[in-house]
Amino acid sequence: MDTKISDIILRNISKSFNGVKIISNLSLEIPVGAKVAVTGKSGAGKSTLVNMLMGFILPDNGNITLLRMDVNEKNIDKIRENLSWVPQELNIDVRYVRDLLLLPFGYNKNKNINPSEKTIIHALDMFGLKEEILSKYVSEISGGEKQRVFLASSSLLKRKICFLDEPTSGLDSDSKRKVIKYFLNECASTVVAVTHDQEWMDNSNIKIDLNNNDVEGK
Amino acid sequence: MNTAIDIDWSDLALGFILLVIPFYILWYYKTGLLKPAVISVIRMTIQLLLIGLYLEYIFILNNMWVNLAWVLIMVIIATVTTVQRSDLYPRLYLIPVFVSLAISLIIVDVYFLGFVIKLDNLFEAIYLIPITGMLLGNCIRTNIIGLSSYYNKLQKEQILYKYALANGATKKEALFPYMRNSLKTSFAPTIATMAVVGLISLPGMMTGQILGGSSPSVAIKYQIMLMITIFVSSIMTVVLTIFISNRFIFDPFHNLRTKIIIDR
Repeated sequence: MDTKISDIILRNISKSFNGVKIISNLSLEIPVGAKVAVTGKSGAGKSTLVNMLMGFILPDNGNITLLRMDVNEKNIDKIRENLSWVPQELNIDVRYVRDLLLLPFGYNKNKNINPSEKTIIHALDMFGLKEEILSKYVSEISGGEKQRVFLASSSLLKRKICFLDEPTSGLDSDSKRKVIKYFLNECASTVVAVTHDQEWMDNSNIKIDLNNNDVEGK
Repeated sequence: MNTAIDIDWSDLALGFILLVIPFYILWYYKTGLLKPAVISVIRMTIQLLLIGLYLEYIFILNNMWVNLAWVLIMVIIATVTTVQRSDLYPRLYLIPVFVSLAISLIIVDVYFLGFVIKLDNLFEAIYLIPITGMLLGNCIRTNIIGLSSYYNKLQKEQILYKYALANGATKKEALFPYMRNSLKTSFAPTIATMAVVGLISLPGMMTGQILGGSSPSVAIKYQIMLMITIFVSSIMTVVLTIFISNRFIFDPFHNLRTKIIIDR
């Protein structure tokens, strides 16, 4: 694979916690725009891998390159400006759904994005949400709706790389299909998702199975 | 105006009889607080007796270096108490809390004693020591609430912090909600108390001054300034401690280096 068009490059990455090796000598290259499914049983290192890619956990050995920048102290801020991340569960102390959706747009680096009302409504619609949800209290909406609000927020950021943590867990099949359609078919970003969802895995270009450090590409 | 009537030692002992009431209630309801309450009362009494004797000499001596040394001891004790009661790791927080308390006190003491009261000698024992003591006593309470709230939330709600960083926030922006929460938790009671002072509460210093022979009009002016200086010094201490400790508790990737608060 040509490294010039790779968004993410891992070289001989290893990580242990308390003497237990979680990830061993993992190397891979993820091309621009690829859709990656990271899977494996509990404790196999899925979250560790994604956290390492975002610079939240540092590998014991090896090096990671994102967007042609080594993940190091010097580049980390620049790298993170080009990412978005949707965790599986997140509680944020804001009152309205609109505040939840627009939270990242309050950060200085994102102020230039400033999505219009039309764009916001379109993003909500892509994930099967109605405009009225914006004026609801966060406490009023279901877990699945909240998950989709975060995903819509991530889509509005239009980052080069999106990290998603179990993006379809807790979603009904219709909503799941919409999320898969957007992130795996429509969006131009490189998408790295931790998932157990077979449909998501089937629709991804690269599958990383951390049960046996196996990387499978299509 | 006359100074307050001295309480005879035997009469003071009489005052202790009142303690039978709380002690009995704590014992009857098996709260487990009887022993700590007795120990606290004994400690409080011994500490105040010693301080009373000590301050008598310090006030007579009124030497700048002795006064400053006494203030330094008070700041050290306040630092240790704040760190212990906030469940913070001493190796991480003793220096930030000490430096913040010292900076806030220097600024507020110099302003109050030098510019407001216009003392010729800033280190005058009868002003410097009681006022610094009042400031420290009140700072400790708000600092404990403010700091434990900030670090507890930061340790427990790591995902929110990472969410902000991974979606374009700077470290400062990612820490903003924790700082806001800490200030809201620790200063809402102080602000509420200020709003009702004089209506439903007569503060200790004012009462003390009136009993000591000052006119109420003088006592309230001191009380007003004291409320202001407590507010200023405690908010400065909380914010400064957080700013200083933030330099030590994160790695260059803005991740928390280690556990920052002791789990209970």
